[in-house]
Amino acid sequence: MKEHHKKESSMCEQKMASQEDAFYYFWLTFLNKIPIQKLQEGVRSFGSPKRLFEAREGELDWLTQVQRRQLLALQKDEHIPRLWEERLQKPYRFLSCKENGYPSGLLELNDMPFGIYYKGRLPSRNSPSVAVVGARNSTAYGAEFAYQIGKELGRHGIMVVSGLAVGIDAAAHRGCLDGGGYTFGILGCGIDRMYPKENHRLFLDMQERGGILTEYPPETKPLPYLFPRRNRLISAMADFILVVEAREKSGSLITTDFALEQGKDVGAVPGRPCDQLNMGCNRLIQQGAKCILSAEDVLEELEACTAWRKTIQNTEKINTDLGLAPKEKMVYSCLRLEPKFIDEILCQIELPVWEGIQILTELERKGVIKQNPHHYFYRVM
Amino acid sequence: MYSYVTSGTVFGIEGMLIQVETDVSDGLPALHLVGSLSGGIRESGERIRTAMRNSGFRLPPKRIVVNLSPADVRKDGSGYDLPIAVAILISMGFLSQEQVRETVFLGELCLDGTVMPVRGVLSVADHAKKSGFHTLVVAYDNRQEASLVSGLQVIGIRSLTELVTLLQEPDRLRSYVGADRVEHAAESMPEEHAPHDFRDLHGQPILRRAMEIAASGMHNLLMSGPPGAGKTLAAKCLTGILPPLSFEECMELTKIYSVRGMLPDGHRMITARPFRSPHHSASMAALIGGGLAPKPGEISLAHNGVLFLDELPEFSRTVIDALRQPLEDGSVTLSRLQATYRFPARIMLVGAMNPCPCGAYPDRNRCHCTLHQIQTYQNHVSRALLDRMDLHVTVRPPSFRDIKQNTVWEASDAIRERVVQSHRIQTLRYRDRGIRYNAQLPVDGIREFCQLGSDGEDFMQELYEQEAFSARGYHRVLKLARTIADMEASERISLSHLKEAVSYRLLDRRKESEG
Repeated sequence: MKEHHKKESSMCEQKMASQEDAFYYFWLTFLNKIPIQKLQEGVRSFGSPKRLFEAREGELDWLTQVQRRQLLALQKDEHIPRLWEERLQKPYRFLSCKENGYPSGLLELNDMPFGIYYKGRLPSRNSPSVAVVGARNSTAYGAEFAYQIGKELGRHGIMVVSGLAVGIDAAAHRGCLDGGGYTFGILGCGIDRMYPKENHRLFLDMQERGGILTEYPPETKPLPYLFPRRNRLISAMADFILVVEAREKSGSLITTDFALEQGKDVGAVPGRPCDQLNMGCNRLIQQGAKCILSAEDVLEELEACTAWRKTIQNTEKINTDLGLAPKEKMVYSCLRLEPKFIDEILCQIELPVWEGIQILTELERKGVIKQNPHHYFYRVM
Repeated sequence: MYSYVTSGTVFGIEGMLIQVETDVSDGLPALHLVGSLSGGIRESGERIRTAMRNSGFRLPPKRIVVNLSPADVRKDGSGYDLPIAVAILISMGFLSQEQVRETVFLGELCLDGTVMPVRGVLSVADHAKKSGFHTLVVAYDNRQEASLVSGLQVIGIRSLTELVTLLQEPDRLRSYVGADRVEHAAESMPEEHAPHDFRDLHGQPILRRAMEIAASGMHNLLMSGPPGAGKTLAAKCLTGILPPLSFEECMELTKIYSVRGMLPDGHRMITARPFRSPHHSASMAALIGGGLAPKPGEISLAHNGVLFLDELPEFSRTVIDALRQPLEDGSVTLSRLQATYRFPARIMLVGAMNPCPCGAYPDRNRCHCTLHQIQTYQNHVSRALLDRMDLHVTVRPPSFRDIKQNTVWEASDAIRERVVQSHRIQTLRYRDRGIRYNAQLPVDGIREFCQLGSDGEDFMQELYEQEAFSARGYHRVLKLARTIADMEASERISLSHLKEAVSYRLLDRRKESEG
């Protein structure tokens, strides 16, 4: 009994201590000129982040001059304590790495962030997660594929993690939302910024069903060098990393490099060999990444690398009988998953132009085909 | 001695009569011109004095005052030289006031007494006829233009001396008019051909179809596609499938061109459908008209024809947005301190644009533009203008097979026959409404002439609730469907007509779904 008491009180103490420490972790996230690992060493040798916060100049000879100067300046900075005081009035929250709820995937990083800023909720520990990453300059086909994968994963209760960029990222997030799942985006800028602003709607929706996270303190601008670093968080938070449409020199490949370092499995969607847009993916497969052809493949991979087991069995199969009229069927059969220009379709179907256009409109209305951009039609998966 | 002569000027594109009053009295020798004159007319005193002397009429050393009335209208242009000279001649007693009572004079003088042509003669002639004058004296080169107004006796003169001789011998005048009477322009309207034919446009079924629909209802059209896909060629072919202008349309158009001084050689009538393609550096004044005394701009020069704006996003945004009101109203209204001017501008607007800065989108192997770049580029064309484009069509270069093949593609003449047919249906339907084509149909007309069946209504409701288009867009789809129905000579708009119409109007929705 006594022991139990003791344990409880020590837990309480720990909790108190961690809350007190939270401010100092908060402060640490602002030290962007010092690598996280070096800071961790510092915290370790000083004993606590509080001690580091109170450190005098003489004690900081392990830092370079620039780093030391920043640390000393931020010790006296009044802006950070003020932000801390006002933190509860802000639309975002801060969670230090010592508090409960900190994403378990990040704990395994040797340069884990001292804390994260987030909106919405944080990923739950129990459900598995998949990172879907890819080109911003995606094709309609790639975006549609990412969307369908995201939707299927969402339907199975799997979290989709990505970078909230336009193109593949946005399509995967959106797919997951539409599938009823929770999806998490990791930003390369401060939590109070909305970048890119094309995804405005997605930002809002994801705060409802999922969350937006970043390790960068508020007011951080979306600078190019911040994005590769945040990619390590994407891969760390996921159990499996899927690449859809990546050029040979693509940011998505940075994510896969991190994933391999972290010992995660990587999969890629293949493309035609000479297609520049899929060169990165094909290369990954050549080097041993899993070749992913459908959401089913991703689910199987997840079962192999996590304790998760698929429960819902009725995965939507591509419906071959769509209930189309004969002429509609004929037009539909001319279409592919890749967008096809209307002129080509009209040449193939050998119907009067006006009739062909009507049938295409009808098919789009039935939801079996889509067009993007205008007058380029493709089948919906 | 006091005398007066009637002259004319243009106000906007309409004619207006101006009284030229002259008084010769004793006093210090001078020639005073008064009556709200521009700098150009102020100078004309010396010109007139010299021209008269060189024609053999020496101005007496007296005080001559010339007044142009009404005095509150600012006078501009050079057409007053001739009437002022005639008025002075009357005051000097060379001619009698009686002889010029029912005559309007218009013309510029050279120093040697030659009479030069001026702008806007047709408008003045038309107005003079309506005001009850029966004779118009203009420069020889202006005579064809002026004689487009039937019932008006037009005398084209070469010099001041010739005029005086004619007026002094009325008998000669009668034979003069008879001999030189220009045959009525209506009979001599030559058939003009567009410089390009649809035969030259290989394949591209969707573009052809869209062009035909646009021509049939005079709808605005926006083409989007990579450079070299044939957008400009297609636009140039367009006038070739439009029906010929009616005589009234020609008159209206000729007035506009006359005011701008842009009539072809010999000041003949404009009989071909205009095709105007201003460069994208055009200013707002160039496009919609402007100036202290406003002159019609490109949009009015394209009246009853095609205004083609190539590289639409490259135009200045304010210039493009200034087109919005004229597109709705079919006319341009320019307000100045002294007056408000209205120029007709019933045009078919055809725009062409690249889908992205490099032009290759959506071919992602060649196009590396970011989504942001693409949207910024497309946003150069405001949503409001896009909304006024009835047909949006994507253009892609024809396949090599289509270029290579020896197929003879349908020529403009065949398409034109069909277009004429649907125009006939429309003019018949709208004969009491003061409009000619479906595109001009006002909202109350839409309710009357664009009735849908219940299936059509359900279809439109479904799309409208998906926010596929604005309320204006909704009306435009109905007008477009009306045209498609007319092309089949169908009385009512069926669901299939609507389905086709809708497929040309989805660019606005597309843009949103990209994000």
